[in-house]
Amino acid sequence: MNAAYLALRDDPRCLGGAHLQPAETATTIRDNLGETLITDGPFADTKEVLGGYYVLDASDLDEALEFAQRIPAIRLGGAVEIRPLVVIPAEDAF
Amino acid sequence: MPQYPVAWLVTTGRNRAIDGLRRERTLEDKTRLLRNDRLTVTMDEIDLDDSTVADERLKLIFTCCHPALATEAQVALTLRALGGLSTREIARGFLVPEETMKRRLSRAKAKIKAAGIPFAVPADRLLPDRLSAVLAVVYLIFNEGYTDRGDLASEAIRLGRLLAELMTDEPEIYGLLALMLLHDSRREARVVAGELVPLAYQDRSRYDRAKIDAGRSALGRALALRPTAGPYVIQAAIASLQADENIDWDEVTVLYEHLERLTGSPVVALNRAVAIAEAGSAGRALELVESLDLGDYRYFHSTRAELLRRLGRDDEARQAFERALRLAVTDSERRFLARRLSELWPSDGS
Repeated sequence: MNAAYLALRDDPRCLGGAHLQPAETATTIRDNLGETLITDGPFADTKEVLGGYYVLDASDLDEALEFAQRIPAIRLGGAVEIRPLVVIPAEDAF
Repeated sequence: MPQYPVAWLVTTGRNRAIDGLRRERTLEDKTRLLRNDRLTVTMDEIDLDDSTVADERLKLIFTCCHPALATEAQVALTLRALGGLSTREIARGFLVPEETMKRRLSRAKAKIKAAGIPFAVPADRLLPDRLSAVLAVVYLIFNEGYTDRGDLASEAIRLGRLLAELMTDEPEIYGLLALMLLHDSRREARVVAGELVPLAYQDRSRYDRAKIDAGRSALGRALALRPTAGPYVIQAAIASLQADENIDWDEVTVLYEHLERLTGSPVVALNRAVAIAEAGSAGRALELVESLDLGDYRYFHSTRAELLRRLGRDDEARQAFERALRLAVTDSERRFLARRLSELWPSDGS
């Protein structure tokens, strides 16, 4: 498994990527009549499409939320899902 | 975020990139990371709380009531981390199997850890929102225990007292505490022999005077802190009027109007209708009730039913009581509604 992932990453066409933590760790931001609505869980409306992403270095979820809330798509009826990355770390064990 | 996100992604070894970023962090950032590490420890120690010092408890409340957690998770975590209830007791309070509650708690703890929900009192600009989330959780716990689960209500009051000790100058905390104490003062009179007793029929000698006094003094403190009352303070003022021997329903109506402007909630409008009816105009109250869109909200149907009954429209009243009975969630409510229904049968010839 790991070797296969490593091979993908070493393929020169691969520009980057990250392993997302499971959907249960997601937080979604929407706009509700001008107020920011923060909810637990992923953005699940399948009629919508993923429009873009940011990779963000934040010290905690509040900092990530602050950044995400500035994304104009929220004001246009969109939603922003925040998902932590898996920071693997061989030596950095739990 | 890194200045050039794509470049950052291209870097071959992701961990090396992250290490690089970490090297560039200032000392302050490092301290923040350290604090994050400590969060893990604290949340794992959730089971042996209680000795946690005041400052830590306050942070813990804000962590448990973070809006990125589902409401039921916020409630369960708050009760577990700060209340005196075991997982089994919380499960029983919310009528779910203990295993379900255990999973809910561990999922919530996992999210706190993975998503980086901070273990801190929120920054000033976030505080009003976050504090109202905390108060909402406490009030939810109280309401869950409003009729039949006195232990949950007591737990909510304990949490309210704790908050008032930890943040001494927030009027809404005192407002919520006053509201809960005043409502709880009527507990013994509200449910008698397992049946809900409406305010007008309650035996006032069963009211808990000490709680009424404590509630009123918390209300006084809230008003002294800020004369323009927030939603909890207004509700506490209403509850205080309702603890009087002769309730001034016109004054209650005015306070509900005020609260309605503040919250725009149809549930508040429903309560205003009740006050209008108690002040003497059931007809006008019914008009207001029927203008509300409250779907299957059980108190909408029981209120409508009661107003129809008072106006002598028995057939419609019966139908509405039947619907309310189907929607009732506690035994004491069911018994009260069933009695009302049975009283409507004999008087009707059809």
